[in-house]
Amino acid sequence: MAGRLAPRWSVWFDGLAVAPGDDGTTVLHGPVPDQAALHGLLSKLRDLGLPLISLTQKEDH
Amino acid sequence: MVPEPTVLATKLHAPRRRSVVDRPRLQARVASGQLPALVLVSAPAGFGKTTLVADWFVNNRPAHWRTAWLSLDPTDDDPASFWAGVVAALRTVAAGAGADARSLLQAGQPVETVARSLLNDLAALATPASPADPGPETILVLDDYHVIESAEIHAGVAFLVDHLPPNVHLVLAGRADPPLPLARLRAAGELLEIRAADLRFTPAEAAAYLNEVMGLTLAESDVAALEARTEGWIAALQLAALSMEGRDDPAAFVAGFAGDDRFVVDYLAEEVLERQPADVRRFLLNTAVLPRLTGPLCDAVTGTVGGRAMLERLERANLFLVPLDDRRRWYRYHHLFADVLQARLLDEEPGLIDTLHQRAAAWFEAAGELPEAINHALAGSDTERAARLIELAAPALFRSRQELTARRWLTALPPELFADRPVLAIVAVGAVMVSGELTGVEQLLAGIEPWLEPGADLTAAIVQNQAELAHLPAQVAVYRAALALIAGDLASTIGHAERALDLAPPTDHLRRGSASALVGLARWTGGELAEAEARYADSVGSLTAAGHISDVLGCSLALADIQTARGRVGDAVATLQAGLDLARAHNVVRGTADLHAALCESLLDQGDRPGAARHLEAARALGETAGLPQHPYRWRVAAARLHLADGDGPEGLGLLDEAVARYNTDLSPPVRPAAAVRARAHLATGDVAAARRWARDSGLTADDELSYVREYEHVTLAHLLLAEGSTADAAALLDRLAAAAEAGGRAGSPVETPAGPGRAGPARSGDGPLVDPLSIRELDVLRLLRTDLGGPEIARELHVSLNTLRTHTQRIYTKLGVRNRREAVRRSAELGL
Repeated sequence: MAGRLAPRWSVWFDGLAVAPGDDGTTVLHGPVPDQAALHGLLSKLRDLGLPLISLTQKEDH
Repeated sequence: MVPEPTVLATKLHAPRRRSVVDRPRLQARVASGQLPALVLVSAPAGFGKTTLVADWFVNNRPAHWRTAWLSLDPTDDDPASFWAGVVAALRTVAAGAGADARSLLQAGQPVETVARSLLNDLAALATPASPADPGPETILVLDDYHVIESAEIHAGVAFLVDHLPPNVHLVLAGRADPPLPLARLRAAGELLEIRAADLRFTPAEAAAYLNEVMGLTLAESDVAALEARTEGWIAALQLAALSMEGRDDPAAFVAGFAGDDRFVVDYLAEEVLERQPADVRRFLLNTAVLPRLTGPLCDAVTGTVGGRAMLERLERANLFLVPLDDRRRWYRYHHLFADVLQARLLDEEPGLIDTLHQRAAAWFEAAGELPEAINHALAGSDTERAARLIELAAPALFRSRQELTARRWLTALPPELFADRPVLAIVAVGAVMVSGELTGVEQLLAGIEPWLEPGADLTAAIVQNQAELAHLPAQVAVYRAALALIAGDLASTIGHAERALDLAPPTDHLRRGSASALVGLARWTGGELAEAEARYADSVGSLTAAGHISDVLGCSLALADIQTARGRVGDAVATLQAGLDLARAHNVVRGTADLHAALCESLLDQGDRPGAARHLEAARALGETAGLPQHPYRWRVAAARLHLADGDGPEGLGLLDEAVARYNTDLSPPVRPAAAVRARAHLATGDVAAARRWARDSGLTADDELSYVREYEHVTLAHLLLAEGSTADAAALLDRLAAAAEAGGRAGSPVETPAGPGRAGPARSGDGPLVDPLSIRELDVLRLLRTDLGGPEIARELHVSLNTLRTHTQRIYTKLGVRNRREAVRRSAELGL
């Protein structure tokens, strides 16, 4: 996402790790149980007006 | 009187607040010329969507615009709640609007029917007063439309947009583009779009806001820096202004903010919150869980006093409090700010959140606002309270058709709660089964049944609604019968349903009606037509007394089918006509299209072609969604028969192809499969090969064991055998069918000889008068058959093709129960035709 977000937002995003970067962006990462949860998460980003830059699925690990 | 979903008055309140700065560039977008059908304001939170729409359509509107306003919230994502809200909003500009739509909604009518009725009212509202005075423009605003996810609601709104009268306009404001055909509307010039890029404050607007409205005396470079850093995001600029109020050195703040790359709202909200006194900060965080706020509620939730004064103070301080009425009683936080506050609370005091919700639930319960009390109880993990309140709220919820809401609440409860709450459990069974599903139903019923055993200690059960407890045994039996029917177990269906009838008192019309219909359905499937007819007649009476009119119509259709199968088309017509009269008296639409389609077929059976055509047209005009689940295939069969009767084979067969693709009997016995009807049409039009393919694909043979459900197919097979010249096989099969009908006590069961595409009807050759009289056209043909003219000459005489003539003669032979021209002439003479 564009903009640095404080790590304390983690709990708002259902425990996903909030990792602000040095380039003025923030990466949210962590497991999302299903598509419904993913869309719920995207709605939360939208409702805060957080500009989403990209969405990537990581390999299972 | 059926209760309606209550619509909070605050949701219909059009915001009176004006934009903080004049925005002539946006005002010009609506002021210039004709409003399109749809105005879409689509942008993230905090871009001033609501304010802009209020400016356009409420505060600065021309005198002849009337604006109906509805602020949506997540509880509106249920078609019943949504449309009730729309009707309530329209009623704020036109007292009588939507009266019909409302009763349609309560009767569980399909959304297109509801929308159609609303449109009729809107069209009446929008009638020009005179050529000189074009009359009022009506504008319906749906704010926060992004909370709607239901595909059914979107479909209804799309239908509405497509059919709006020219003087009626829809305005949708939200954070996401709605799934409507926007490209088509755009191309048709029926869409005005306002997006984030349009809504952002320009540098000039930012300067006007910060310096003139907020009185901040910022340098031009500071305004430019703020505008660039926030990208004109209005909520961010407002937070920035609040952060700078009363500061000695706003330039230092701007420099610090502009030089930071934190998410703007995060940065600014922290600034704003940190500048608040401790009591304000605490109040903000504790009340952030409330979707709407009022003084006493805030007192209950915060455990302090002075809530009302605090709310007024926050409003004066521009702390993102939105008034929801003109009396300063109800407010809400700006959504973006509420999210920030809640996230902060979650981070700082996660343990407090449940407590806050529980206090809110108790307050709303005491205030008699069950839905909000339930929402807070669920959010606050107070499942005991939620369970208690859902049980109390359920009857009204079901009567107002908010089953989706009920289901959403019930699935949020832990399953073990149902164990000692039998009435709540039966509510849950109903909420699942009404949507045609079975998930979890068996476990729920199994949990209820021990409470019904003799000697069970019902005092140990947790029951809020004692009246429902009295209905419990019969209701469980009805659901058991329905489950048995779905599983195809006719004996158990009858057993459970008869038990329900024993258990239900004479005044319990609903359960008696459901149980009778289930017995009727099972008997019908088993070929016991007399018993089935009697039970369906009972269910029609009981369900009428219970006021469940759409269900009465469904039972009337079955009753008419059975009467037709028993050779009594006249009674079927009377049954269907009574259903139409009842529907009209109760203003019910769902099921009426089916009645018209069935009447089309019955009148065809009686040879009344113009009457049949009239009813088919009535069914068409109502639309496919005004029908019950069987309607999509049944009206096509009716339409096909009408075309075939007119000699239009290709059109009729095309419709039958569509009917076959849509064939769904919805638990009724498949006594007249569309594919078999089509096979008869193929035979009637001389396509024996196609009929043979049907027989092969259906796996039918002349040696099959016979059952009532497949009688129509086996009779069709006999017709096919005759057409193929296997006369002996056909005759043997027909004799076996006649014997099976007699053995099954179906003395009137129609075992026909060859064959138009019609349904069961005529008596066998040599029996009494025709059940299925000849049409006028067929009488014309018959008259010529008595002459010496050959086929081609008769066809020429009647100005029809030879194929059409063959269709007519085949139908005449079928109706007369004869096999050739000579027999037809003799038989018609006997009958005095």
